[in-house]
Amino acid sequence: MKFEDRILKRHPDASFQEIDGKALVVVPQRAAIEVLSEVGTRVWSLIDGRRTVAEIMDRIAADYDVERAQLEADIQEFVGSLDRAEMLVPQEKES
Amino acid sequence: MSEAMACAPSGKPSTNPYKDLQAKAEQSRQPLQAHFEITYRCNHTCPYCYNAIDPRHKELTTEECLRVVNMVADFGTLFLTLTGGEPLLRKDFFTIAEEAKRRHLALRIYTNGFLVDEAMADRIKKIQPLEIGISLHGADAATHDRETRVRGSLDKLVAGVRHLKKRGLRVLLKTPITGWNQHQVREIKQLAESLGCPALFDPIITARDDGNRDPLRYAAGEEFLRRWFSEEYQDVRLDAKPWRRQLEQESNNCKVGSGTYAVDPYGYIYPCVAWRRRLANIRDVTSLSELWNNSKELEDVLEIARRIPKELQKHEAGAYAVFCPGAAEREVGNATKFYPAAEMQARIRKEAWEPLLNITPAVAGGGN
Repeated sequence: MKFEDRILKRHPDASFQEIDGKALVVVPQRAAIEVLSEVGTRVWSLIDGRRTVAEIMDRIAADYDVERAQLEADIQEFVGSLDRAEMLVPQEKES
Repeated sequence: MSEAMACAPSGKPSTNPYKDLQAKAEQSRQPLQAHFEITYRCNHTCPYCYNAIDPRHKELTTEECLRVVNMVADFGTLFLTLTGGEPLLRKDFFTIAEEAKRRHLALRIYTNGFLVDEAMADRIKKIQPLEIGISLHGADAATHDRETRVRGSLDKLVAGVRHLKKRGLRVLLKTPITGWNQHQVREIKQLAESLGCPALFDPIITARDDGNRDPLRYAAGEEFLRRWFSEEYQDVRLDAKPWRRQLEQESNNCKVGSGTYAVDPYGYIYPCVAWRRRLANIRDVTSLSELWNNSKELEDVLEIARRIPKELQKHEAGAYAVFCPGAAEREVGNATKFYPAAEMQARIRKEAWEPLLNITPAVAGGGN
């Protein structure tokens, strides 16, 4: 599957709250607290278990003035950091 | 945009972005921590327990508890501690906990572990709490069971901890230091470590929430506390590194009302689990935000909390104090007055730590 087609889903055990435009995310299985930037928080808010990476990128591209190639690189890095932090779980696309 | 999107797990955290946000939440009156005492019923009868059961009141119903959880989440709180009494005694405990999880609250459970068998541990694993705090009162049954006044309670606790650890859950063992267990603190830490858990000791026993001072009789003695705060127990204490507050720069000695609040089993809302000033009853308010923005009682509490560092400056050992306005109000009737236990511990810390911090009386206003 291409990265862009991946459906992103938050880890069901992750707790979060937004403060001053930034998300505080608690990851209980790691007993860790992560702080997302404003843009990271926007991406996090778009992760709903249904949207693909491509759909999320479209929404971010509409909100921010950024080159598509740069956006793709940033999203890939960001999603990788969410994976490493155990903040996402796999989700298959519904047929 | 790479920088802008970066989050802590990408490996480039700012100095402490969590603390920055915590401070912002406090400034905007969005307490991140709540304690919800869902029952005062307990299957242990520790003689120094601070809970005050009031038979005139009825416990919140399941529906009311769920409403509390939703109000807490709507308020912007992140951490919810379900505590008691013994919270697992409520038959609807998991209904309440599952609602907290559904609302993305980070859950802590404070329990005595007595009811945690394999089946209970499975159910707790399903709600994946951030932490389970369990009260450990002694390193052997003679001491632990003497404090809980329930024979076999240490064995049950140890079994419960093992069930939880086997499921990969994080368990913190918490010990109030008393005159009965003070001689065992090192062994208690060893027991906790053998179970794969950190040990947290609290040398402070407070009066009961209704002002009854009986629990103070069980507090650790001054002679032990001198040793506790000395280098002898540096490897056991949580605050192993000596500290000294910079009271001149502190605007708020504790996070009462701004970083934390509590709801009791009868629905009363307090600015802190340790400060029993009733702000309102959950049955009478539509939202916690509205209460926080309009409560004169809360304004009073916050104003008192702001004054505390200044009050502590008046005392020679004030910079070493762990000062609880709630305890002060209960014990000496004035939320800003140095109460005997805080004064004694501050004095002991000062004597023990000032030499370690290389503070001489001439520069005592400076801090570390």
